[in-house]
Amino acid sequence: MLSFEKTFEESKLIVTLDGKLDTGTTPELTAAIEEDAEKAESIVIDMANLKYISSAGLRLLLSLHKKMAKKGGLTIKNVNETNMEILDFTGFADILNIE
Amino acid sequence: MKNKKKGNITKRTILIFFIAVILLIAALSVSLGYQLQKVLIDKYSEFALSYVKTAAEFIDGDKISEYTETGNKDGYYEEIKKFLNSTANSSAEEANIQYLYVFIPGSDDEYTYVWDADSYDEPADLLETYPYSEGAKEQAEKIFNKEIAEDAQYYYDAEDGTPTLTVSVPLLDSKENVAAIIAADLSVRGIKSASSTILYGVLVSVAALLLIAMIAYYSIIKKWIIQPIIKLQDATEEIVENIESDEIIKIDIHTNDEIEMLADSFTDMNVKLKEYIKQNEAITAEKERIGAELELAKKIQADMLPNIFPPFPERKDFDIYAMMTPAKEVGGDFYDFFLVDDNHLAMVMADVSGKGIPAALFMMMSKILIQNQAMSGKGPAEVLETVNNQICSNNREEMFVTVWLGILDLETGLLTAANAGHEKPMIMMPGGGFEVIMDKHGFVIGGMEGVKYKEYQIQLEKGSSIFIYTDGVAEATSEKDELFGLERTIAALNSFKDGTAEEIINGVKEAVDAYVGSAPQFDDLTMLCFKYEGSDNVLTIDSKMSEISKATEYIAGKVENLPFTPKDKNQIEIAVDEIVCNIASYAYGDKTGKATVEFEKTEKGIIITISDSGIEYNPLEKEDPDTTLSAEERGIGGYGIFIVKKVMDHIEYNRKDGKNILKLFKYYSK
Repeated sequence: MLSFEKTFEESKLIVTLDGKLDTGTTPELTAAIEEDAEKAESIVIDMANLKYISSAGLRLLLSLHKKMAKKGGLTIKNVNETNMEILDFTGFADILNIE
Repeated sequence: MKNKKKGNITKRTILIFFIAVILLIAALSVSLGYQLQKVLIDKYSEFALSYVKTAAEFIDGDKISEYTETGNKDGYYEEIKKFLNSTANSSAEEANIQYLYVFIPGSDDEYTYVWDADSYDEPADLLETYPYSEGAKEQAEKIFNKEIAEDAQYYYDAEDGTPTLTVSVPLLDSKENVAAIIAADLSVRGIKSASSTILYGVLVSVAALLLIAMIAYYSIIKKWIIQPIIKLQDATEEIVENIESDEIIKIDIHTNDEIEMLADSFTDMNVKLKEYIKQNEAITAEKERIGAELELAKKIQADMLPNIFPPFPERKDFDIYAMMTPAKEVGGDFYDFFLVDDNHLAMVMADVSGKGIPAALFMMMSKILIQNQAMSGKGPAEVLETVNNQICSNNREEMFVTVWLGILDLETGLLTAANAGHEKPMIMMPGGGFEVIMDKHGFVIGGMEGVKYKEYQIQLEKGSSIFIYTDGVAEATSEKDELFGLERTIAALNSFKDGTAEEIINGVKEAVDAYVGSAPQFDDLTMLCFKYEGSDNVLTIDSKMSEISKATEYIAGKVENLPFTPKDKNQIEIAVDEIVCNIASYAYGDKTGKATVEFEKTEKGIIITISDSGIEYNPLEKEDPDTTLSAEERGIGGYGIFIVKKVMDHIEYNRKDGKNILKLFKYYSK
């Protein structure tokens, strides 16, 4: 289960996630922010209430990261312990901009 | 046992003897009386004749005509009268002469007296006439005409009824002509009383003799027949009363005749009877012993089968009930079920050829062998093959047993079964009714060594039921000699299909009983019903992306209250998500298959087993992604398995029975 909010601060898209970002929920989120991601200059994903992230979620993050790299970039913030560990051992922590 | 009839031999004997004596005396008195009277009359006649003949010679016949013509008596007349009187008187003692007289037959029915010597009443005078007594005239005329020389007539006097004997001879004159007739009347009453005296004397002595003979005869009969018979009777009663004791009753009869032989036969019979009773007692005791042992055998047999229900009260994932009703004391049918391990339930339904003790022994052996083989973890076909070879190796009695063996994976509901010539199982899928499974029959067990059996699998779902049975159900016979049959069995099953396993079995039993009525139970009646409630620890899903959350939520629920850290719990969910996602993406290609997620708690943590029947794939052989690559260099996939490896403590992969089986271990952090 995943619920999310997306808000724009000028050209910055802020996505707040609540729940699980896994195989089941990722396609939904992907579809929901696809257009906004094109318009946005930069993206911030707030993971404060994200319980966990699976490889499907990672793929979305990688894809967004690649898209934003040419623009204002992707930032993720409030990463909890579970998610941080996954980002760590998959090497994503080194790639992503984590606040 | 007292004989109520009275002994009647004595009475009867005496009565018969008494009647015989009376008849004898009566016959004797009639014949003897008649003979005696006849002899006496003859004798008297002879006497009387000699008297009258003597008198006839003494009397001068020439004088007669003189007297009849003149009617004058002279001296000679008086002299003769005196003579006749004295003769009559003197002879009275010997000849008993009543009347002695001389007469001339007259005209008409009268005769004329010449002399009359009458010792009783007034004598007739000369020329006095009297009418003849009946019949006397003819006789008198015959003598007078010299037709006969003498006559003796016996007749009753018409006047006073006195029996009288009259003798008469002719009285001749000098010219040898008949001048008159001289006759004497004898009172036969005297003769009769004389003969009666003799007769009484004889009869009294005969009666006395017979009485003595009767007493003697009676005492002989009493001593030699009646008393021995009474003894025999008493002895018989004693034998009957002491029928259960060892004592031989001695019969004290030494009559040296048929009765002693009879007594000896009785003694022999008594001895033989005792022997027979002893033998019979021994046989009865033996029968009782066998009966008691049979009862015990029945108990042992019943105890061999799982007969406490519910058998696994802690198991909520299935419901099982079975019943065996032997037709005889011990039967050859049997059911069995047992847990091979926590996850596998074996169910057996079997029917041994024949009945009674031999079938029961064979049944015990079969049951133990099947269980032993099944407990070693073999599949049903292999179990049956091994047991068949074991039994065939020593089966001189050529008995056999039909067996249906099913082993159910309780987690997945997958039933693997093999059938050695047994009745086809009936299975009900949720929402449907019981149906006969047309399974492939192998040969009976014990029939031939080296027989192979085919296995088949049926996927049970929650709410599925299995009914296995022996031929006693379908072949239960009604009073009209009609079979219960499969259709009635299915109908009975379906009318109780929503009940518990016990209710289903009892329902079928009642239906069979009602159908059979009072007809005797011909065959053993054995049934087993299994209801699959499904495992709490197994989730089966379709290999679709949309089903993945079912798996993660299922596992999340399982670990919720376990002592894992929140991070651990999240990681477990992630792992399940990754693996199921892989299956949904690749295992069945474009098609949709099944995936099962099993949950198991251990002391150290948990094991999650995720399996699918898709293409063979060992995720552990997949190379880990290079985590040092930059974002641009990175591919889109390959992280799923890697994450699983990282977040789980241990992973095992197995390919078995066409399945990919991946076990994920997660331990509690210390």
